Amino acid sequence: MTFNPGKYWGTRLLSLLLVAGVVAGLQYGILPMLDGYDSRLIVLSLLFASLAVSLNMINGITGQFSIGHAAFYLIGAYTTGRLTMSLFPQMHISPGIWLIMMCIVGAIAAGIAGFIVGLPSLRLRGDYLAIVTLGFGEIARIVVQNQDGKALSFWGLDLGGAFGLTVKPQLTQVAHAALLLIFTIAVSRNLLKTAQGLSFLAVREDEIAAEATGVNTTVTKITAFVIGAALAGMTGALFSHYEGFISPTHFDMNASFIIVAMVVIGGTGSITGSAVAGIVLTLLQEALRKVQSIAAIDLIAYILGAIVIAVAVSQLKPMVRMHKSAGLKKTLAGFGLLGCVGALAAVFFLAKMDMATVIKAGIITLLIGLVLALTVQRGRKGLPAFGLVVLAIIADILLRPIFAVGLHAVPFIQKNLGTTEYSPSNLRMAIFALALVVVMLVKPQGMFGHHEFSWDWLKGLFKRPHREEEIAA
Amino acid sequence: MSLLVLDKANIRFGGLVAVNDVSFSIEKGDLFGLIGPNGAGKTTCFNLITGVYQPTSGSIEFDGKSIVGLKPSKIAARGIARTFQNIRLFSALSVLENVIVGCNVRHTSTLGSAIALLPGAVKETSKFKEKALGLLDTFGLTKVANVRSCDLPYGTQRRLEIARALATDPKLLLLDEPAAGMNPQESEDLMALIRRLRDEFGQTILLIEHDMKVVMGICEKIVVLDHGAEIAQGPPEEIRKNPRVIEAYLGEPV
Repeated sequence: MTFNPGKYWGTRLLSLLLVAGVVAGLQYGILPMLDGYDSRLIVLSLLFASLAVSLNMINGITGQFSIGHAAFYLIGAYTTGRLTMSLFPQMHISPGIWLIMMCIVGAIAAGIAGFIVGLPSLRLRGDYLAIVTLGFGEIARIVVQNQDGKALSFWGLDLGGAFGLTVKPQLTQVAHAALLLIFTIAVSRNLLKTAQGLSFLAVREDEIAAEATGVNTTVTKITAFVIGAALAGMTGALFSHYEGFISPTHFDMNASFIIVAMVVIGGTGSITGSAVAGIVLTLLQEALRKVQSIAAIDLIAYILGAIVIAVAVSQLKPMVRMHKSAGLKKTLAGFGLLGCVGALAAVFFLAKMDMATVIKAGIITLLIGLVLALTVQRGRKGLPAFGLVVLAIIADILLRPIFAVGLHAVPFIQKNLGTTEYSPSNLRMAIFALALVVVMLVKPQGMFGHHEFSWDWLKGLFKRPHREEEIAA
Repeated sequence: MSLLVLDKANIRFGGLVAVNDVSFSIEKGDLFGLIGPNGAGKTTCFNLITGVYQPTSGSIEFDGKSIVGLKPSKIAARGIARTFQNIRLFSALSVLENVIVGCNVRHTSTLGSAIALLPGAVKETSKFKEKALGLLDTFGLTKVANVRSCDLPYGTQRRLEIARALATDPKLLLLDEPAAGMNPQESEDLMALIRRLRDEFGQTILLIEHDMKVVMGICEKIVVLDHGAEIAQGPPEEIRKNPRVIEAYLGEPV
């Protein structure tokens, strides 16, 4: 975080224009090229990115470990969904204004819930707080699930219980989701640009020291919960008016955990990280749906091969001590990046082909990513990246059939798994989970660590590399 | 009028009397020392003054008003700042940001204006940044302004902690063993710095210290605690000769 607001009005105006440009480009430029399925994917990924960024406000920035975030999402969705069903047809309000009103209502409803859930955070820390928030998340879902307008009545309102609630009309457009994500990011980012925002980080770093330095930790923690919950409530409002149908299963523990995973994978505390991880993980979950079924033995062979290579790479690391100049390393990293992008593209183009190719391409991508991450991280003792990429590919080609043949040779496996086809629905979440594990192993601090995205590296590319003394100073 | 008055302050943890009827008063501009053997209740005394603990009985008045029952952040806003025996910095924040958190006690802009990045909040932030940079300059930390505070060497971290405490514009500064773990050169520099704070900025300081050279060298008035009770009070020369202090803490001269 830097405190360079720049020319005040100039910067404000420029960023507003930029936002308008991006949203308009998305709505009128990109959207017409996509079919319904893809545009739904975009909306969902934008909404989940907003959820991740809003949870990051609580978990990452203020350091209060909350894992029941889906509850705030649920409260926003159900409150506004029910209101629209009851009131919208009688009111003569333009849909755009109604949607904004619903966002505000969702934010207030979820914000109140955030205040209530925030109260235990004053006394509880870490895992204890996590259990309380988890409990809250489940209570919210179960109450709605058993609410059918008779048994558990909220002023006679019917929330549909386990059958779900239909929300008509579907008002949310892609642009709305994009605007919400930008708004959510802006809230956290602006806050961190000011002195007041730093006190949230101070609470995360050391509560006792923060209190002694004059930070009212009570107010700060509750505020973080209210802001995070309110933003999740807004997301819920957009979700219910996009999907047209909401049921308690949309907001179960699974949803909560995926949001937490997004924050952690993005790098706890990093706004950019949460947003990027939110989009990438949502897309990844869906992209894996396209994957076709595969024989179980081949799948196991691939996974084993990948594990062996990963172990080999980590063992090689201390052995290889080649000193490379910064320029050469940048070039190598560039090649590696290109390879990575190429492999990813291959995955998507080959998605219609057989599963084996897709998995192979995926594993190679993961490996290249791993090598890249290690290279960039290692500094001077960097690995000779290119050589290892080649090694990994050769190892993959060699190991895969060996494992497959070996597994086929075991009678038990041959009998039980030889003809078993893993259907995509089984496989999808397994691969998804595997990807999460790999990311965490390679970069325990998440994709972005505590850092934010900035354009500074672009400037850095055109500068001459730093000398050692400058770094030491 | 005295700046800080402890009158028969008392705190019990179960059966243990950690601080027992301690009374002393600090005048504006004092450089006051608090010494005693390990476990004498010095840090507990600090925790009482800063509101981390509430006294079981007795009164603590600051600037003429009682501060018993106030939250630590409230007391910090009233004008008591402290450092910790085991350094407590905001590790992931930069040196500059650490100090800005201290400045933020005096904030007047609302949270809403910060989120909307209204001119008020932006101006206030740059004002705090200026002030923080000034403090970093005083403490010789300008060069490391953008370094993460956990990456600093130990002695520098101690200095940063004092800078952060001063950023809250305290009327009274509490230093808990500022020279602990420092080499002789570093602790000498620190002594000079503490004296400068008092002489140039008129800062009232209360410090806990084990290094007798530091305490006797810079403090004008000293309170000695032993087993939670106050056993002596006075200028350094008197303390050095006091038989009870020698028995409990200083030991016989060889």
